[in-house]
Amino acid sequence: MSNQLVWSICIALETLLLARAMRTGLLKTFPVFYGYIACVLAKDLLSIPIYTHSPSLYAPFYYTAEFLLAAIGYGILAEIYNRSLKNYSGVARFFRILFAIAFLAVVLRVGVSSVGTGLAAFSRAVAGLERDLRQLQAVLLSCLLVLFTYYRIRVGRNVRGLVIGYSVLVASEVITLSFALHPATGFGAFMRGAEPAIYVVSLLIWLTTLRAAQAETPFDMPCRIEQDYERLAAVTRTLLLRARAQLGRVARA
Amino acid sequence: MIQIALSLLLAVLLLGLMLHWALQADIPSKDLSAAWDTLGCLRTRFFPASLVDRILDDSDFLFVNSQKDRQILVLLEAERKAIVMYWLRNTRRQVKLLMIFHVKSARHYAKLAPRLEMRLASDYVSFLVVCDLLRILVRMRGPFRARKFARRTVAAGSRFCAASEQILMITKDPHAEIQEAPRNA
Repeated sequence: MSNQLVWSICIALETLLLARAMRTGLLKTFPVFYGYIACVLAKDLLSIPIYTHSPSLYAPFYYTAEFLLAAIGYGILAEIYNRSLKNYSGVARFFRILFAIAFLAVVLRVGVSSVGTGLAAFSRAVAGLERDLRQLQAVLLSCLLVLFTYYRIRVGRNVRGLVIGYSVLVASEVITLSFALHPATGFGAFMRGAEPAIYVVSLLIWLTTLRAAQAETPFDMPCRIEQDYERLAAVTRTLLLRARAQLGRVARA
Repeated sequence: MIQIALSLLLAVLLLGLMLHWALQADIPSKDLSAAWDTLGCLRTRFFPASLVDRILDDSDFLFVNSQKDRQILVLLEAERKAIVMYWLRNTRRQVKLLMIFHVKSARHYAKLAPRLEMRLASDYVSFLVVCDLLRILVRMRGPFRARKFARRTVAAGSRFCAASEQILMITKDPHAEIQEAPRNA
């Protein structure tokens, strides 16, 4: 009963989010994100008829849809990256390097773990792949958040809401999928039950922050010293080392 | 089991970072102008060494200790502790402003050097760790008794720092007016 209620709320919120995006013009600003929401809505609407009329098709349908959604999730990350770092080309380059390292690490890990496993059941294999995709998304989002925090990147209300809602969603997916290949007991069972409710939280965050198209945060132009990066970095580093040398004097005094 | 633990760790890390970022306040322009002042101040007169030497000179402590007057000794320790704590707080604040100034400036630079930035970040984090450890030690054991423990802490930090100093020699502008960091850093 409570599952059906949460499922109905999800559908209602997704429809509202899409309808509002068409009205406010945000659909053009975040096409991949709203495409993702539309796919989730389609999956939600098709799930019950498939489950009722062709139960044998339900598991392949569900896992394939989840896998596709996880793949589309990379588009959302690209959208966040493009919107938030378009005025910070150096930081964007930094993120691309981190992205390459994280992607390579996950590909290697997947490659190593898949050697010698043979042909696993379809749903099990897809669930494993989806888990790896979501984990990579979590790593990339974490890298992005570290850069946002460290470089104090200013983003508008829309992108901010997108990042917060998507972080909540990815974190819950990562936890739930780590239990997907294990029997649903204890915390795993709790997370499976709580996942739709957490998704509702993400939807509510998006509904609140994507209420209207928000103007981009004004870009503050760099001043003279900011153009001489190497000199600035050298000065900062010298002063940092000197500060630490002073701490050394305190200890050695 | 390890897979589940790693996933949980990753999810908690993501949520923690997201919360930290969401609650992080933007730097008001007043703070940035203070950072400008700090940079100017630091470049011309960086934490006077004589002041540090004077604060931590233990000749007063040895003299009072030899007088066997417990009350004066306690008073001396309390005052020195307050001064050292103030100095450490002030140093930490200035370095924090310096880093804010650096990241707010460097983020616009198209050819940002990730390796140099990571070294700067690690220097900054290690500075904060050493500074906080010193504050805890001074608060718990007093300025004179904390020195032995602090010496070990700073020695560990210095070993790490010595290697990273080399980078500075490569990137340093020959026309820069700054002085080289002391060798005992």
